[in-house]
Amino acid sequence: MAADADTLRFEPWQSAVDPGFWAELARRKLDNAGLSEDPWLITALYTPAQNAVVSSPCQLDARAFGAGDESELAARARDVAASGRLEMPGTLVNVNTLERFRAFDRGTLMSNAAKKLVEDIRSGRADDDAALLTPFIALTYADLKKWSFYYWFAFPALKLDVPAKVISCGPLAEHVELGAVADEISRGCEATLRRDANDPARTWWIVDNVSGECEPPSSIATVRTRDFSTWTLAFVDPCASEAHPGWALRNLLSWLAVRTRETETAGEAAGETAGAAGADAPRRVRVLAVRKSAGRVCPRASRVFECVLPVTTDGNLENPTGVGWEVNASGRPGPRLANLGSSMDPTRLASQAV
Amino acid sequence: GVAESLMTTRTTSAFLEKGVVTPEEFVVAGDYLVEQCPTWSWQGGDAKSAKSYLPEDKQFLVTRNVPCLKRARAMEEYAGKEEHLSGEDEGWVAAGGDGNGGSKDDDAPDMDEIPDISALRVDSRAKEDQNDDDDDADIPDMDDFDMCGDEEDDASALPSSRAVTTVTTADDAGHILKTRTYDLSITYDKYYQTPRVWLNGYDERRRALDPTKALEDISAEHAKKTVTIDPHPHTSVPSASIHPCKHAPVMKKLIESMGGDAAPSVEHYLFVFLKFIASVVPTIEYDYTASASLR
Repeated sequence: MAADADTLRFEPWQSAVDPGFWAELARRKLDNAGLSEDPWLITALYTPAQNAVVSSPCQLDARAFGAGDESELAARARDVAASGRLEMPGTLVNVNTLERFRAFDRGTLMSNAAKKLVEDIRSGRADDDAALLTPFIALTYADLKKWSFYYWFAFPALKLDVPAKVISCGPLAEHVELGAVADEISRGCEATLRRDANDPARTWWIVDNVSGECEPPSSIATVRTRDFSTWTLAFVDPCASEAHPGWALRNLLSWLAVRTRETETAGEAAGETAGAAGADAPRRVRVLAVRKSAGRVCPRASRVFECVLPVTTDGNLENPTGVGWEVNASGRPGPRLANLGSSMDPTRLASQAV
Repeated sequence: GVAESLMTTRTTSAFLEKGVVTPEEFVVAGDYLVEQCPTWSWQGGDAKSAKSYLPEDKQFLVTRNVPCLKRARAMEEYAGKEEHLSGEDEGWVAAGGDGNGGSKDDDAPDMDEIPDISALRVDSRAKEDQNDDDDDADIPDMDDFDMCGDEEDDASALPSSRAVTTVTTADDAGHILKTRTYDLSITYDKYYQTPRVWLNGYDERRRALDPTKALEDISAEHAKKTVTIDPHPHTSVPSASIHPCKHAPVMKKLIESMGGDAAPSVEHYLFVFLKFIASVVPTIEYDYTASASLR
């Protein structure tokens, strides 16, 4: 599919795996998992973009495996909240041989992830748990003799019939309407992002276009009952690019398109969008990509994207297409290799001891 | 180590006289850093590694995904033999200057305790990399791996080449930077009674860097003398660390040079410390800019 000039293009996630993650994977495989290739549920973390230079990656460390007693989980949640990070739910499939890794049916893995995304959206689960819209898959093979780890991440996104489009983009501070209340919005977003360990992280919320007031927790009901021209969809954007939002927005827009379309189809909010040319008409939405500078939400770093929602059909949702395999260092979709022989192998470390 | 476990924790304040801090002062300074520079946050880490003399939720400080646009080596070639950071006091030593922060104090702990970094470069490939600009040498790109997929048919994905930072300046048009990122953490070192900095790096494709590669981002003088690779005290991940044996005398000098009638209060300690560390890792752009209230 050729990209039209106005197709909204999302910057893919980049995985950043701490060596402690591999050490913990190795430990768990040796201690517990043995030869089982059953999927493990793991958790990655991200933040809004912190500077204009590099996007925030999807980070994984030893604590990604999450298991432990209550006090360990509470301590982890406290650290996640203190550092302002958000969770991404992931599925890790660790296979036993390099041959299994090469031959693994990645297509089924991705199509199952796409089906789960559609289920999570249609069932309403994603309304209350937006982290379901930023899932990831990790396919791994651990060569414990060489202390080498082959891995390939995917960040599944739904590919809908008509992709989202971008009409314009620019800094929040200079936006023709929101610019007047940019400081108010930034303060509100800052307060929304700050939370304690018991307070669930929010990946999106509604900003009133006139007052600039943030309305967390915003619900799908708010979105459905208010005219699209009166609010802005704010989301936590890990991307540092001036012209593009991060991948985190992609499924969020699909969710919005599907959930508001279903409403119209059901006639619940027909009056709100009178004049629209039917249920599948493209709809405009204003998006605020919330980004930071020097550790605080910044009206110059944060960007407003005037978008057109993607369009989907029931057929597309019945048999959804997922995309999002990560590219490797060559820039093509492909696996990566973490060779930790010189730094993590316990036997080599012992021989280096001074 | 053993020595640390046998030592008692410092309880009396001596940051003005000796450049050291107590754990309580470390927490006060850390609280102030987090408040002024929210890119930094406190972490409690794994309870098994917790130090009893620090609050369970304030074991160490961390800032993540800090950009490092170029290697310190490249910057040093550019900067030549510049001795001191402009506009600063004598104690601030820039790349190419005296790596010991201008401190020749007799009371500095013995350097013999620092393991020779060369002993840690275990295989010959790692050694070759020291003179090799290709960061990828010891991690295959997997180009020849026969399972590389086709480009996905996806108009909504930004091509990956765009994900690599490109900076255009007047004298360096369209130069693609190998922008590394670092996760920096600061622990309290009970033996030296000072903070200690740990570096965990990622290459421009966010693959974890071998800790020896972090040496390329440390000014030449320090890379040879004061950087060791040790397991991080809270994550156990082998990390490059700026050895704290000279921290106290350097801090004493820096605090004195700022002093006069209005000596800095202890909550500013980490700002002074991070400014010193910036001369050790001159291209790692972490935030320590609360200068307005520093004096």
